[in-house]
Amino acid sequence: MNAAPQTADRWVLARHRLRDDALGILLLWSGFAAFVFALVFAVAAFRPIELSGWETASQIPRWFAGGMGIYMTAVYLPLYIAHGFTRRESMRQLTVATAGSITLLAVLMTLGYAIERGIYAVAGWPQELVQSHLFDHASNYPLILLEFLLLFTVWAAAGAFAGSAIYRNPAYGLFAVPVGLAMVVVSEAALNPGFLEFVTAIGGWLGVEADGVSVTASLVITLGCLALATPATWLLVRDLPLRNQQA
Amino acid sequence: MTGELELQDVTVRYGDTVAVDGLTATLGDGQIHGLLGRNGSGKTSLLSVAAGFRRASGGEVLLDGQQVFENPGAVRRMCCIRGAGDTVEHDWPGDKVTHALELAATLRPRWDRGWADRLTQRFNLPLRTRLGELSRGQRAALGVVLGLASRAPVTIFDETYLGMDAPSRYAFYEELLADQVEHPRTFILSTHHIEEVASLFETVLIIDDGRLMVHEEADALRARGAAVTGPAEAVDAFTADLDVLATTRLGPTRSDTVYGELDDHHRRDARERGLQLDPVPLQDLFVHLTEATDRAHTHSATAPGGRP
Amino acid sequence: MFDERSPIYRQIAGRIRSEVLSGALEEDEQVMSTTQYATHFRINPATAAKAFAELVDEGVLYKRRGVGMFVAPGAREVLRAAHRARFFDEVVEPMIDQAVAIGVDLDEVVDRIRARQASAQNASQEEVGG
Repeated sequence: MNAAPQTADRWVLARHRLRDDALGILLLWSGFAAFVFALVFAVAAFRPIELSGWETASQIPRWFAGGMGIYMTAVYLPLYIAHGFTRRESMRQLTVATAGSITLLAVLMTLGYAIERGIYAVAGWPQELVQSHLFDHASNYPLILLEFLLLFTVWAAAGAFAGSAIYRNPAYGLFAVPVGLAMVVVSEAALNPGFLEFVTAIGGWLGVEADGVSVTASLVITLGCLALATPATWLLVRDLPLRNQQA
Repeated sequence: MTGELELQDVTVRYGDTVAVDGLTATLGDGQIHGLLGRNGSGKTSLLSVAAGFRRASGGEVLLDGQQVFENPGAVRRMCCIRGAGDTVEHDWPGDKVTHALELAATLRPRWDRGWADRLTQRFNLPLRTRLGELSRGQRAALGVVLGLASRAPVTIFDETYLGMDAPSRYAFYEELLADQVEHPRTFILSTHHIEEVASLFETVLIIDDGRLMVHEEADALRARGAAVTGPAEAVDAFTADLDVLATTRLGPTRSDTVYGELDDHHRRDARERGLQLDPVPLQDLFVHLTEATDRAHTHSATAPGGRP
Repeated sequence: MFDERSPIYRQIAGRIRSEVLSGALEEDEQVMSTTQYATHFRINPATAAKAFAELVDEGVLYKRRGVGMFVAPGAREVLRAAHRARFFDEVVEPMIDQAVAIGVDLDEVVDRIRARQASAQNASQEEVGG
């Protein structure tokens, strides 16, 4: 028994995280979708359905992505360190796992539009979008998926940054949370040009059409946020001291 | 089996507070080491650094000659148990006792599943209870299971096993000792409550104010203290050139606790002066040793990382 | 139980010696294993092993590979001889020192010993002081 291999599975953390999270995401999404469509039918009893309910509902999962980011650095990272893994190993595997979870979530959210399309077609309701997106129609699945991916990425990265700061020192958190919020506001704004005044300025500065939603702008902003959040987070966690435990 | 832990001039600072102050010690492979110190003496800070939970502000920690901090090969062979063993309490629905055990089984390369099950039963740990709802004793017992069954070559228990009730603590000592014969490893047990565990230790480290005061084989330390009792003047003359840790007077009788080996010459001398020599229990030695420095310099503020 | 006042391995060795002397442990009888000793008395196994090693050196115990520790044939006699050798240093000399210190007449002590010797011889021939 003492001769047990040290690392039988090099990606044990990522696998562990992905298995747990994928199951949770599937369960939560199923409940969420059931609730959203039930609500649409309930509304349909009182007034005609004229727009996509899924679009409105999809505001919520981005908060979940942010929460996953916070948990990544404030909960799971210390857990894995305490169980005999380095910060570097843990962060690398947690990043891979979170990327996987976000992708799954984005796929499921895109699937929501497809399911809604089927339901609306049967009921004879129009699947109209009210907000601006990277996509014009609720059936442009590649762009829907891309938008969710970009959004969730920024939310998770901002969450991971804020989470590491809060764990390290609540005083750092006071600074990091507004920075994280600024990241998600900018990325949201890039998708909704009419949402905030300064988007025009950002759009102009980036040299893209300010009054239309641009894939390029969203990509650039997402990558920009990642380029900011990743080193900032690593700076906070590379020598992260575990908090002492209460007896 | 290897697991020699070397602390070289280890310093831990929190801002201006020095919790561990240039501590150097080598903790031998396959031995049970007792780390004794009063609350706020720097035990937890020292162990956090030893396990790679925290980077030392100065100095180095080596496991079998290899740097510990951020070294996968080293940290994988260490298990430092604090509280309930650093388990996640806010991770619904995966936050039950059974999940904590499952996680350790996945992540600990030498995990002994069968033993973990037996220990869980022996300590009456409720598998389906959420971690946040465990009592203090149950949390400590969970930590004990996670530490023991990990079979990590260096296993550290930071005091919290003291949260268990007496029968559970005795069961813990029994399991630890029995396993130590079969699968020897390096244990470090920190405590401020010595009487009960002293006989478990092969070596004892006493730290006070972040400094190492004593690092000796437990049995050698037991032989190092003596209480010299008799007429005040005779005691005074006898202990004049000895290291006196404490003095008590009762009328014309005086009793000095001295630290250091008394040779045959001393013993004969004491007998001739009509003095009585008594051995001193470890707990008393510890109290006197740490009190002596207390008097030497007033205590600075407790480290913020210290146990409340 | 062992107390915290003197080296535990010495206490263990002393306990086994007195068990052999009293006959509680017979020659060739197996003694508790290191594990049993360690867990039963909650002591460090290395400490117990150290006590056993000392007793092996003294010829009180012997080791059977893979089986355990046994009381050596003749162990009792070895111990009695050793105790006899130390008896005057460890028991008689301090007794005399104490008698002098508190003013007990040494002749009185000698008389008491002779009286005990007479009654012991009357009671039983086997009785031996130790």
